[in-house]
Amino acid sequence: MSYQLDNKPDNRVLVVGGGMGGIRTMLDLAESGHSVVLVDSARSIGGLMTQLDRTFPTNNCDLCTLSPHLSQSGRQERIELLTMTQITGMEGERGAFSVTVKTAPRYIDMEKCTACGECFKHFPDCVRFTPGLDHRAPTCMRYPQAIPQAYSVDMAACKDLQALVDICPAKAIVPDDTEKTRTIECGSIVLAPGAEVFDPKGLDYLGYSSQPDIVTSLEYERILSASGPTSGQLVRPSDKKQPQKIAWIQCIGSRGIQKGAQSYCSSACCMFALKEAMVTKERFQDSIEATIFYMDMRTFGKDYELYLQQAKERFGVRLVRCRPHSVVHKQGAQGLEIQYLPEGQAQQVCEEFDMVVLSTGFLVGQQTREMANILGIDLDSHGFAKTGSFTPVATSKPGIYVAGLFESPKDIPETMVQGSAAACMAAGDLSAKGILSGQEEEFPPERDISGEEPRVGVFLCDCGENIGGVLDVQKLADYAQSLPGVVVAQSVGHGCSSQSMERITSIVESEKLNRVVIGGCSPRTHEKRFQDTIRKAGLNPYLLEMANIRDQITWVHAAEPELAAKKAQSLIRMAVGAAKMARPLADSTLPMNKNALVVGGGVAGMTTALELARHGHKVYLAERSAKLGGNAAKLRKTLEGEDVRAFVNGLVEKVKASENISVITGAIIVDHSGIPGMFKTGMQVGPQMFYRQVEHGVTVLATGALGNHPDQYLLGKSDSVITQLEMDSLIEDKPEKVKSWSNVVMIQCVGSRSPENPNCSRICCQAAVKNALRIVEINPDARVFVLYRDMRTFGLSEDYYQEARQKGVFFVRYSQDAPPKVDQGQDGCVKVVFNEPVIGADLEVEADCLCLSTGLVADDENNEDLALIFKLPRTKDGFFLEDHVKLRPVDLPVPGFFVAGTAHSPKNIRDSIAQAQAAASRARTMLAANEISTGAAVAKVDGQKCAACLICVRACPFGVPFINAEGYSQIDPARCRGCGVCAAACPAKAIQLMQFEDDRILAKLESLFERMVA
Amino acid sequence: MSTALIQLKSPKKSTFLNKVKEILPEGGNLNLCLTCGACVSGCPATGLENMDPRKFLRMAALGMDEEITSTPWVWMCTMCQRCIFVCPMQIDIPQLVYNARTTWPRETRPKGILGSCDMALRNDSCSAMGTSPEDFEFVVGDVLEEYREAQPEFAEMEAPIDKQGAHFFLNQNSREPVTEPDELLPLWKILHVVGADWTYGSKGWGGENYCLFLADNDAWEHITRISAKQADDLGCKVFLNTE
Repeated sequence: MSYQLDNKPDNRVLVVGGGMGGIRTMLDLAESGHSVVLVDSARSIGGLMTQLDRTFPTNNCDLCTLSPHLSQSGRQERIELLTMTQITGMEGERGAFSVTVKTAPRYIDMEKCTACGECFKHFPDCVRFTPGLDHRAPTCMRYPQAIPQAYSVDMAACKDLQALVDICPAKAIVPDDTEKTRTIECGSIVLAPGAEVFDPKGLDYLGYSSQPDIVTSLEYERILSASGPTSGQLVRPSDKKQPQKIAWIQCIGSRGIQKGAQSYCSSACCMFALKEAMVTKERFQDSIEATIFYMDMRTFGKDYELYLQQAKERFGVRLVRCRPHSVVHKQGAQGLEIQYLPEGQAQQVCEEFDMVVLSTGFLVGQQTREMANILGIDLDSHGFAKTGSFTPVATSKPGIYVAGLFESPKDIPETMVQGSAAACMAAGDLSAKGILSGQEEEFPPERDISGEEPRVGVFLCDCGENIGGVLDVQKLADYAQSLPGVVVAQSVGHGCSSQSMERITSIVESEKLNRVVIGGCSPRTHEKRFQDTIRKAGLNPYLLEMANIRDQITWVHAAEPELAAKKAQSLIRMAVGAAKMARPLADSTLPMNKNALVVGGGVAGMTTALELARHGHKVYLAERSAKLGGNAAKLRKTLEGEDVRAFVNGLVEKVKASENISVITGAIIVDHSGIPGMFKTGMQVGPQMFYRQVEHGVTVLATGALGNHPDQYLLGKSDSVITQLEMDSLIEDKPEKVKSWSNVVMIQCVGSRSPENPNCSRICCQAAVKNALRIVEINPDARVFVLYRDMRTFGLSEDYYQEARQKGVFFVRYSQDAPPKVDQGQDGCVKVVFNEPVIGADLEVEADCLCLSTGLVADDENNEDLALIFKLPRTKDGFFLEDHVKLRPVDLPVPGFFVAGTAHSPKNIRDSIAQAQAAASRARTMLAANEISTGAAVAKVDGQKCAACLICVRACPFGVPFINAEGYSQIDPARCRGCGVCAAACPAKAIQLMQFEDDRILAKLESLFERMVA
Repeated sequence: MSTALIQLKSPKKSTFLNKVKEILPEGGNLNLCLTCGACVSGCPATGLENMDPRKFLRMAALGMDEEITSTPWVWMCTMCQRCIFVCPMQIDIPQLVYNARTTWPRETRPKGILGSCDMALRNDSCSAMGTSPEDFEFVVGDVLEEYREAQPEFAEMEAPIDKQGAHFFLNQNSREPVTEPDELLPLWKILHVVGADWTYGSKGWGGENYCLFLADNDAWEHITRISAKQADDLGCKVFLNTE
């Protein structure tokens, strides 16, 4: 890597681990103006996610959403990447760490290597480059977009060194490369080393070692993946035939205490099994059967319950609540036999499957434990980094933070949240706490192309099999070459890989191109990347046109390759036609307002406000009620037993003491205007409803949620029926009452996972376990029954579920069709009758207390108002909807808006704090810039043609156009959103939308309809 | 499915399950059941007597001691340990079953097992067939002699009884010497070919231990001690349990 670092070590963060979490931390820090060194022991970055075929809950391919993140990692000026590198020593303390790292020799000079593959072609024995073709290989280059291009040499295996050196056209082989040790000075450290997956070899009863058709879930991903060993063909490893029946077995290596299993829940496996089953069903419809054997179905994330419903109802995935005993391969038989006991039956069923997928869980690797030892941070009994209930990403050592799987098992969105949260915390330890100016990438001066004839270059991606599997890209390039004005037309493989981008830049320069057409994927995800690419070659970024031959052709017309090829020609022809009309445009810029508005004064809002204030931003903290504290003010203890009230009080004090935070209580938001970086929000404040307006650059929504209070099970009608939240206080305030109880019954999912409120409230299983444990602590003789549908004590909270069982709390499953029956009983008792499915009998309990887990629901009324004022989308159940549920869980779709806490979805305090820190980090990436770029797509009025008819004034949804003193319509480019409504409505054609000018669109259409050029 | 109504009013009481927990290491993890179904899926006795290992454990956990200590299902369990082998919580269901057996009055326990245990208590052979040490010695000698003659390649083969200082002490299911003496041979041949230094004991040679299955702890211990003592007296290093 050739990036220069600034020489201020105390303004630098060391990030360990280049998976999703580490990348998020690194980019957040870099975008906020800090320098980052990222070390990863692997040969390229990307972590586990790059091995997945698709991700839940979008069921999209990952690489197109991930690879822009990865290429960003290669581009950012403030980032240094050290692959094949491990930590060997550490000295110093927060603010001034000195970390020694050791980089293994790659024997390839990465600056010279062009990843041409010549060395691998001639010396496959000693050059490491396994493009994911062995689904069981632990290390290999899994994907073509790898950063850096991950060739390396195994010197021990090299027989003719000189021949290897000579074969490299770039002279990049370095035979005398050595292990390098260096010291990195940094102010703070973020650990995101990820986790390993459980190896089921030792479980002989599952047959993984002996049967090729029994695979782990990660291996199954490789088999499904287009860049995997079978090029995305789903075939059994044993005989390469398509399986008809596939079984998934959950909790392999998780939720167990013997044979190497970990006692915690790995959190993500239920979702990825559902995803794999759905993707499989989607591809093969009725010709394939997908069955998941599970213990508890844990779809506890945002909208994940809907995903589960979809799997069952739309895709016909079969869910069997039973852990099979073993997988047996009978000699001579084709399939794999699984015996299990269907629910409610007395006799086992034996069923044959063609393939079995073991949903293996996560565990902390040995290398990570050794690193923790070197750094001197505390680990819990499982090897995860110890953190606190209120400090979710802080390790036991000041200045060292943790994100992702090393903190606890979790899925990608939560890893992304922690990645940003860790960035926020790590930045707080740096000396340069003030607002840094965002430095723009260094570009060469723009070339003046006025007067030049169009010289178009067409670059076509194959996107691996995505495009190349359907279209003959070379043939399409030959066709493009024949179009008038086209100087160069080439196939570039994965156009978004660093290597291809560099190639495009150099061809633009050498061929003096002045227009560029990319035939590939969606401009929505990749336009900015390609604009930067041509800008590097000195071209104005708006001289680019993209033809989406993947989403619009190969993904949808894979079955008709000939027609697809014709349509591809049309799209390319149109893009070339339009590109010729493209003109250089300038982004307009405005000064950035560095203040923040945080709406909601609960734990999440206060945390975000404090973090932003700490970094020098002025924060307006608007709280609707008269007091700060939110829902958490009603809570007493966390599951881990920490004191919530003391924490919340402390937070309120800190907020009040902060000079940078202006608390506005009794504030109701009433209006909002402006653009990201220059917002104005009006509110009515206090009993008098005085109007007040604040100006701010970003907005964070932390408006919380409401405790649900459904009219069920005598809630509100009997004194003996209370909610978990009430129980939490009762245990603290009236222990003598708890001591008097003989029987306590808790009912889960009251008002959740129901037709009225389909989602899981996520926090209730933990709350029930927490309170049950506290009850038996005070009163060991009390019998506590927890009636549940699926116990969802995900992650490390599973240990508390185990402890509760250990202490005699009795957990009984009920089905939604047969809920418990509750009646008022004798002496203030409540009579609860429920079915015990294992025994097959009804139990009747005279409960002294019935405690309902009612969960959280969105504050629908308030959220609806805010969504209208801020123009933000919401989920069906009323929570704010983030920009991308997988990769951007904190950013809202309107730029400049972020969400934290239960306004996003139900979550506990710990997760709310993490998201609040993440929101501060995301906000900082924006506030770091001194200017706002408003883009070039703005409406322009030709005053000569304007008749001042007011149609545009009425049509604009944002109220921007007005008739100026000269008597024609004027549109402020800073406020224009570029929607084009005015341009379409103007009867005099006096308005043009830049980037989408009439002549450009007409050229596109003419190209589409013109006959083939001879 | 049964719809029996079980009423729970009183607070927790000392139950059978709790007593068993006290005598097992880690309490046999008897409280930890996730009701996942792994045990029932693999248990050969699932569905017999309308019972299965998970249901059995569950009833015990609910304090349904009467049902637990009276179901004949406990005698259908073969103690094969398939349940605990795969149980995520490593719950010692076999020990729970075993202890349920001990609650049965001895005379009400299954006749076959009871009779076999009583036979073993008759003499020091500890054989469920009641075979005496002398009869055993005679059969072994007789069979050995016959085969040495019939198969000259095994003319040197031995089947020692009470050989002082032998490395291996071997026991023997007593069905073979009594009803299928020919089946003693294959193991002898193997031991001969590999050159093992082994011996039977005239006492405690009966390998099956029906008293264990009868859950008669005293008788079980008595039989085991005779075998172990004989091996010790002979100075054997390794006890090879062929059962």
